Amino acid sequence: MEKTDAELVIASLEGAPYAFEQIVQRYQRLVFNIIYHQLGRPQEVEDVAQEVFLKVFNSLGRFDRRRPLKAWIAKITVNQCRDVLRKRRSSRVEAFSNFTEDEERRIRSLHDVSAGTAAMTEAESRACLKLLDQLVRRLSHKDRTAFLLREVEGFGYDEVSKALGSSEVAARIRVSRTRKRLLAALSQVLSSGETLKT
Amino acid sequence: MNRKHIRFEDLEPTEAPDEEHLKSCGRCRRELRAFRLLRFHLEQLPRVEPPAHFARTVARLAEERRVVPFALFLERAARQLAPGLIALMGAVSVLLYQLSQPVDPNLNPLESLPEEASLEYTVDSLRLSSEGGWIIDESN
Repeated sequence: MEKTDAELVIASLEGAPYAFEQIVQRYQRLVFNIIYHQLGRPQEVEDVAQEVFLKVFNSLGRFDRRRPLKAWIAKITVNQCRDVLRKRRSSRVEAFSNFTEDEERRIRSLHDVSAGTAAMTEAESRACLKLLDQLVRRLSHKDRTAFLLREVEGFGYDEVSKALGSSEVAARIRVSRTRKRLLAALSQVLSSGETLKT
Repeated sequence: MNRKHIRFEDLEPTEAPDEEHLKSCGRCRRELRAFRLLRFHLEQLPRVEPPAHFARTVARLAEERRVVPFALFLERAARQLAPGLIALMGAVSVLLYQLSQPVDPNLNPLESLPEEASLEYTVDSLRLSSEGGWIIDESN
């Protein structure tokens, strides 16, 4: 039978072989993708993930086993990403509605082909993904984290709040506010595209 | 008809927007396009896969580093005990030095004995007992 997270933590603290490896195996995808969506540099992901798991290992003794391990590991990952961004000094928040001309042109072209939910070509889809990626990166660290944990990793609001170290209400507000900003920005560009066409 | 606009920011992925309202509200229909576009692309955001060796490598590295806190503990303990150890080693050195010194040749070990307890007296008084031990013969 598969061991629970709490059992694996205890076994790891007692020095049982492979216990920590199982913990890493269980959460490595989550950690890799949080890092990737926070930092955006695939070449950095493995090194940062390694630092995250070493911190997890060294802090296992302080982990409250009544709480979910997933949210605790996510919190350590988020904090590690914040430290990396601080060192990079590139976590500044830009005005969300200030699209460049190129971005606006790409969104409009994507809208032209996707209006009426028509299927997009692979190249167009890739371009749109890249653009959305850029938009998400302009969010503040906490808004981006809350939004991605909820929308991409499928966290519940309670898990988002634990990963952020905030209340559940604050987590809900962050996710809702971020959705609103993204939707407003997309709607604005889509509308301007319609105006140009008519 | 419900004239209240749909709050797309509060719609969860599993929730469906109010179709009746959408039929008569151009603004919400426009927002619905943005909403669908956002959902579609969030579902397709690129994901990265950890390399096959990652879990084993990081677990091994963690195990290697588990030793570090104990080594640090030893180092700190040694630092704290160092003054005491140095003092103890000094005392032992002094003691060993004193023990290694030759005995004063002028010192007479029989000086403290009573005058009548001369070596000759004692030896002359010794007799072999029937049990095989030595006894002092007081008759002399």
